[in-house]
Amino acid sequence: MKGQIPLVEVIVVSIVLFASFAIFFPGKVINNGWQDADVVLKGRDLMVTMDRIDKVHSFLSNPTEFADFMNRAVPERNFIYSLSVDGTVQPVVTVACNCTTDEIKNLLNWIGRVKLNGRDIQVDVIPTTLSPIQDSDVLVIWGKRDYFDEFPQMETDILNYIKAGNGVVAMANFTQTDGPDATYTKIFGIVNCENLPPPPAVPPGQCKNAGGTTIDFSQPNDASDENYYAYKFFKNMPIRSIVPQDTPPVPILVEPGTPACSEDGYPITFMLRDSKINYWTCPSSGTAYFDTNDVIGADKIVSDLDDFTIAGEEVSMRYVELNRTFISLGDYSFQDVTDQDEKKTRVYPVDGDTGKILLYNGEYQPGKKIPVATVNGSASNMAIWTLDFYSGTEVSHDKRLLLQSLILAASNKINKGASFGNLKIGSLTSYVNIANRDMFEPYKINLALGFPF
Amino acid sequence: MSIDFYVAVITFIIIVVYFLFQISSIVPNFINQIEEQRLMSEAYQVSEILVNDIGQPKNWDTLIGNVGQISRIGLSDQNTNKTNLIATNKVDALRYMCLGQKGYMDVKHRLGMNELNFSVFVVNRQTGSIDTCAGEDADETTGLPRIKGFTATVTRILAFNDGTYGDLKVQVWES
Repeated sequence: MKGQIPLVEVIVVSIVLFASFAIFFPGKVINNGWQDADVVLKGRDLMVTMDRIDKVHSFLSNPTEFADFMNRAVPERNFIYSLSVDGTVQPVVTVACNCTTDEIKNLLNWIGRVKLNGRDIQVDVIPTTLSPIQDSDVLVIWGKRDYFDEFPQMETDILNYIKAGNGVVAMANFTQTDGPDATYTKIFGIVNCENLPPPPAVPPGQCKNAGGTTIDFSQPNDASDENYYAYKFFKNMPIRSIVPQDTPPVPILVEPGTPACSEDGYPITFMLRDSKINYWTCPSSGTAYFDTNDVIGADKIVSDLDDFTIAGEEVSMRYVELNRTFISLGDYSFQDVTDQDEKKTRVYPVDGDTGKILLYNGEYQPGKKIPVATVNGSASNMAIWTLDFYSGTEVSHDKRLLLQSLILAASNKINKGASFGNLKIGSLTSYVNIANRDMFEPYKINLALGFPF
Repeated sequence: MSIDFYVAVITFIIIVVYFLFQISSIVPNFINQIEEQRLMSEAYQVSEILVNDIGQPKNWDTLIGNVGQISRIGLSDQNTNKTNLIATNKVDALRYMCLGQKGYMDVKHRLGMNELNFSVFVVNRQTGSIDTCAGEDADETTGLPRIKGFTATVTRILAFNDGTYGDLKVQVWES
């Protein structure tokens, strides 16, 4: 018993010492944070470098070029990255169209490829029902729908679709007996002019046929007007015109005094209202040869960013490429294409807000424009109604540009791409930038970087 | 003195020695960590000066024949004065100025690196050109010290004022 006491003491002291050691010197690995800091620093450096070499905008529409840049700039193999954009038109815009297969083909043919501020934008069109609506950036309802009251879920789904940041474009003609119903009023903010709520913005009895011969833009007073965004898109965006498929290059005939193209060119036709303007792209000089007077051959040579006149209209050549060009129209008036039956019943913004009227065809009375296209909502939840200019006839480039502008203005401007999820180390670097070659376009570009393991 | 007393004392001494060894192995590790952090911090600061500072005077690249007039070295393009945009003529000037051990010491003092050694690699990822500034104790190919030890490395991605891009690698170690 006498010898056991010191041993017990030693054991107790040992336990106390071990416990004290564990408390005062915890065995931990020090994370100095440099690896995290390095990822953040790389993200910032990459983003700024992209801007310095003036590639931020083009990388958005050219993943191959971006991947090449990243592989050279960040040689580490286990590094993963992605680039996305918010606040402007996405590099790929998915249009869910409640329309026929032929109409989808037409949409793709007219606006399947867009170029804005040097950036290629791809427009994909997929078919959809109105309940449920396919995952997309903008919904196009082509033609008047008369069954909303029978299927109330459609209205709910469309409103939820808009609330999620997407847009809706409806192309519908109204007649005296078939005007906008309650669902159209709720979504697009328009009502038969005769049914305006009190006090009526246009007095009853004055909602009559008007004598407008052109369809004009109602210019926004400032950016707070709901029509501003769509107007801005039409005024600045170019529309594509292409060489018909399998068309071989041909010699370009030129009028005396016009320098000849040193090689054969590709013929293109541009339709403005009822006029067809013929021209050719000249591959060797990167210019387009226009026949503006329909005599002999080309009499006007234009290149990128040249302003010129065709069919009495001031236009601007934005891009000349081998087999396609992009032309913007600026201030423009459309020919009146509405038929007399449609003119019998006209609509008006239900809240009387003239800032919602995008296009108009004359006036009910002074200051009370007759809408042909209206915009309801802001840039992040836009519902646009327009008369259906697009069924049954050859659609000119000015109308294509209008449709392109409406669809892209209404489209979702927030990236829906998959996020990185759980990474060992990761960082997201955002950079606000502005492009202004064709249209003033502020946007936020996001570069995600990380190590998966 | 009984045998159990001796056993207890010896056991106690063994435990105390064990703890002393443990503590003596932890303390240098902490000191090393602190030193590494300091070197990383120095490397980052040098990279920041090289990438985002124009130098003093701003046209120092034209004065390499008279090094005494140069107070500080920075590679940023003074004409645009933008972050992460460096001037190719200043990169060339850094390489010329850094020739030989004396040149290296001139650069070292103008980067405020009196107690530390360093190497700088400027790589153009489009043209493949590499410009180096390193002392005699560094390997010519890697820029790393010939005597192994901790080396802090910071790599900065940047653009050159001729429209190309690349990176600048700064490595710092104890003299």
